[in-house]
Amino acid sequence: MTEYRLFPRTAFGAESAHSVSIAGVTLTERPDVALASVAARTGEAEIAGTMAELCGGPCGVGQYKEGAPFSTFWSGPDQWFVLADHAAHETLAAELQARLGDRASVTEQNDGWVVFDLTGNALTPMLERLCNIDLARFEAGQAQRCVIEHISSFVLCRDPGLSYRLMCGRSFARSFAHAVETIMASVAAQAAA
Amino acid sequence: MTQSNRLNGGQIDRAQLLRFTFDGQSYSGHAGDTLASALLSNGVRLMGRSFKYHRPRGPISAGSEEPNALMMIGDGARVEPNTRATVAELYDGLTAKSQNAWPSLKLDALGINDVFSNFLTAGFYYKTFMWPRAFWEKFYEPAIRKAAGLGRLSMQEDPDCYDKGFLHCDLLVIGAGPSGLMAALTAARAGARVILADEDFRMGGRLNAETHELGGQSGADWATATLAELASFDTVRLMTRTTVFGAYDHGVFGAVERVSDHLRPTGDTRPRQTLWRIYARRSLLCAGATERMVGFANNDRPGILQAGALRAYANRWAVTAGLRVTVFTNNDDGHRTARDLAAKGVEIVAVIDPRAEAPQGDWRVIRGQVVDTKGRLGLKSVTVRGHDGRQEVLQVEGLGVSGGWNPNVSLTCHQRGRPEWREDIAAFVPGGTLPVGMAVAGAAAGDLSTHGALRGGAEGAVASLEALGISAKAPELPEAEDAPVQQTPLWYVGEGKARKWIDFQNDVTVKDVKLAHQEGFVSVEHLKRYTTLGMATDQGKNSNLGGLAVMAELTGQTIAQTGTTMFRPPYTPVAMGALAGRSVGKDFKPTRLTPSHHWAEKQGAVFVEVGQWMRAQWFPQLGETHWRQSVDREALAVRKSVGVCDVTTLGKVDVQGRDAAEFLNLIYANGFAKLAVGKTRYGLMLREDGIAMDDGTAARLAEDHFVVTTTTANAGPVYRHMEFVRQCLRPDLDVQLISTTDSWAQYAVAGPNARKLLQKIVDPEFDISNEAFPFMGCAEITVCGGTRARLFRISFSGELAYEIAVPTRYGESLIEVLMAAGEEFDVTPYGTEALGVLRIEKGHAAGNELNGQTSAAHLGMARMVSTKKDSIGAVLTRREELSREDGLRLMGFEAIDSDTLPAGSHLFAEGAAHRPETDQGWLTSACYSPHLGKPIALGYIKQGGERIGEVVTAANPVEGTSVKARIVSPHFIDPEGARLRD
Repeated sequence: MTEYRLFPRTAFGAESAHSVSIAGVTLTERPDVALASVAARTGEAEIAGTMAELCGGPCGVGQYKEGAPFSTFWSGPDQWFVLADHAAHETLAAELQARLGDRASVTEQNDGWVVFDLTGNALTPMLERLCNIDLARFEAGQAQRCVIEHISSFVLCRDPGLSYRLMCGRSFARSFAHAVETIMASVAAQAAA
Repeated sequence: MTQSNRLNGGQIDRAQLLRFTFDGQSYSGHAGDTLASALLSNGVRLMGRSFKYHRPRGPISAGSEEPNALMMIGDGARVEPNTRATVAELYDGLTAKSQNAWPSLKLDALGINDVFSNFLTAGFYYKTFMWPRAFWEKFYEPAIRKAAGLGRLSMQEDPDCYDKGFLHCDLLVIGAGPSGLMAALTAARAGARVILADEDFRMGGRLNAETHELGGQSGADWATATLAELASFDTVRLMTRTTVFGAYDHGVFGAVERVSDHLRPTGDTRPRQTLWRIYARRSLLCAGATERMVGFANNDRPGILQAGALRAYANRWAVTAGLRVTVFTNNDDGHRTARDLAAKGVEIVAVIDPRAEAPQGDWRVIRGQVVDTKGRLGLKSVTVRGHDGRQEVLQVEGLGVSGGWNPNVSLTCHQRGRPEWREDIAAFVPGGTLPVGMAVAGAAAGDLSTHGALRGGAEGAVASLEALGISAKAPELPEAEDAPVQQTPLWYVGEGKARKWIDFQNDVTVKDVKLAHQEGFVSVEHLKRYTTLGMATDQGKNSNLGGLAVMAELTGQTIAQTGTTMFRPPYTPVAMGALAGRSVGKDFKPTRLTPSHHWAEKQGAVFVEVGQWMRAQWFPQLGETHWRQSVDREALAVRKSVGVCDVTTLGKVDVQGRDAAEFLNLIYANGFAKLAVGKTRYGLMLREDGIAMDDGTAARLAEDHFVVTTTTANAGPVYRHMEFVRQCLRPDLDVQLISTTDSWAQYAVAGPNARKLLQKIVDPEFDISNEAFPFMGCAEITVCGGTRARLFRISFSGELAYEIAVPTRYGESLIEVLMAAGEEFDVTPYGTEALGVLRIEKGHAAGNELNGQTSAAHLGMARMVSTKKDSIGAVLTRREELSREDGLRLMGFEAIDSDTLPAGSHLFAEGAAHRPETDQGWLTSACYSPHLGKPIALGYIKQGGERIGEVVTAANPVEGTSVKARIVSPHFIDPEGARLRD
């Protein structure tokens, strides 16, 4: 038996989640989220039904469906990302593969992405400075792929103007957070003026 | 100094006194003033020197079209040159300096240019500074640039920050004058999402500058009430201080919002400006019109303004350019200036109007023309030639000039639309193909009455929304001025020998246009380049039409036939900082960090940018004073015992599906269909044209599951290529792709003790002995008591080597564990430099060798291109020139009697001249090999395989250096590959 053990670190190389608050807006890293990507194999588009059963409802084009234990968002034709609690579902990909069998290609994405929650009052001025999303039409339960400061990202809407989930490639975490926090400070200063 | 030229009324806050300086002199103004209005109120008319002749100049306008009153505003690093005083909002503590004048604005030494103006005509430098030829770049051009010119940059880093953002709307209304306000109101009441943008800090446009009543209230009051209603809609966004500067493809507009330019800098985190990209389903251009000057002798003296500007200063800012004023106009609008100024107590000496039908007023009206003016630093008198031939001199301080109004069509032309000539107003109006979704209303469309503007705005909004399926109703229009507008051309006055300025910004006169015509520069585009007419910050807003009207007259064509030059974005100058946004300095682009980054930082690693990644380049140890010491030590340690390198940056693509193997067979030149589960294979990927694109490995984790690796640099392009093949070339295949580069932390563990080290951390149920897990094996295993991992037995260094991957969150912990467990083997972390040394010694190709010019044959891999199957690039890589036996081959090179062998050197036969026709190849990668104790290199050379042992010259013809090198096998280390399989 090997004497060595591995310990997890966040995308910021820390032991606890990165979190920054400026003027009532908070950006919090969510290392406790497990992720997997699901793509239907050719001719297996009906796995959308199984996905709906798993995730508490259908998740169509551009949608984000929150549920327990699985949440999901649409990421492309017959493709989804599934989110779950990491502590309980570290092997989420294997769990989903067991449910979907050879009808789907499932890939572990736990550490491929860093997940952030962005919460606060009136987040629209922030997001319109970060991403090219028509925010007035971006409702709860919608997902959008976009570019934030040159970084490919997902934006998931939980509560318009108040709560969003942002995702980008894990290796970008520091640059991404810096970009978001810079705009948090900018918007706060403009609001205070 | 007191505000001696301040009148009563106006939309300024007299309770707020703002102090500012201009050229070191202190002045005061009020909130609501622009710098120009504040200076005029203090009796300052001289605000700048002209571009070429250093003529004394004052403002001619009250808006963004200003060509003369350009200043440097701000202090220290914040100083911004070429700022138009007419739009610079006054704040307490503002400092402004004149530019293009020395030693002072009043005593400008280069005013001497004006005396020699006959030598400085259009194109003078092309004619004058021709000899000696070499002097142009070294002497003439720098000298001319220094003498001519605008303001100077601070040459310091910009201390301000800039945001950017994205907005979406149903209707973008550009300009908040009467038509824009009415359009926004119409759309807002219909429930549409509206953005109303205006470059001014106070919306209302000409309503703030005029005394017309709208529905029984003043224009300004009506604007205020309308804005209050608009502000009550949460679907409406009112953007003041926002210039829509460009109309781009598909209804996208560029706009700059000046967030804090009007505030004293405080150094807080507020941006100076925000660059907005506006996505508008429809747009309505309500940009108004610009009043045109008339060319007459000495028409450029400070105190001579557009008549409408003179009126705007009086009505909006309660300021006059002088207490005795005259007006020179060829249309009824000019007479309003006399009426409004007289109402404010300014003495109207006369109104000069060449028309027989000129209206009469409570002042003298002279039927005639202005033929000259006097006053070196400011207007003192105008000379008038009456219709009856009598000449008269009028002592005045201010002259308002109106030659009619030009619709602001610029944004309608940004997608190559061409305006159309309208004879009844003698002006260009929007025509041809407008940018997608755009309509035009108000004065910008040639509707020059207030009523016309209101009606046009309402109707324009209704029509725009109708196209979106939104039903809107035009509001009841307030009763407004609706005088018929007719404009007859008066481009210049023939009489007078002194210069008649057309383009104030570029010092172009009527005579210059005639000269251009005489010398054959007849096309308007040639006229522009030859005379510089219409260039620089005002982009010809004041001068374009005047210049081409003179040209039309000379060529005998109509103005419509003559046409205009092309209008391009930006409409007004945009700061480079606004375009750069936050992408400056260390934030120029995002960076990606490896899983071991923080650990490497603690080890004192030196980092290198590899694409977006920051990678450890080497790990200096105490006592090492030169990078080579660290790199040599790291490379030797790998060959001697074991080293660890973070290779997470290599692209990883998860390939799944029933046809995954067939897919790989297609994208790789060599075969993959028969690769066994649990095995990895090196793969060469070709472009469609047969050139090598990338190389890497594919590991088969299951029948329907592979992990493909790419080089770090090509991770994105290869993934894109694979998706293209999947979606476009072979949509029939059942294959799914997704990048997992960031998901797994991957380390190379290389060296004779690599297995022993790994055996200490791999869980005991996994046998990684040579027999159980031979070269090119792969497996999903667990390490350190159950952590999921992937193990690949592949080698880049030529040693016994593995790559081990764990979920990225365990990556930092894994390198700590490898260091701890490897202590007994003197385990050494190594960076990208040692990685490079090791792979050059082994003869492995990398990015330098895959440079987009080389085929499989050049790489010595022609036989890898399978003939038993089809694969992308296979056919074309067999083209004669790409596959010839005596073509380029990748070979090794050893330096002879030299301590360098520079990469990039070109290869020549010994004794041959160093010329392109004798060039035989080049060195792609080079290093000092600590193992061999000499500089070595990889490179391509013609007939390389047949020339082993030959001595060639590796030369740098640019720097004139050359060294001798011997051609050897590219495999400097273990050519049989025994170490890998040990």
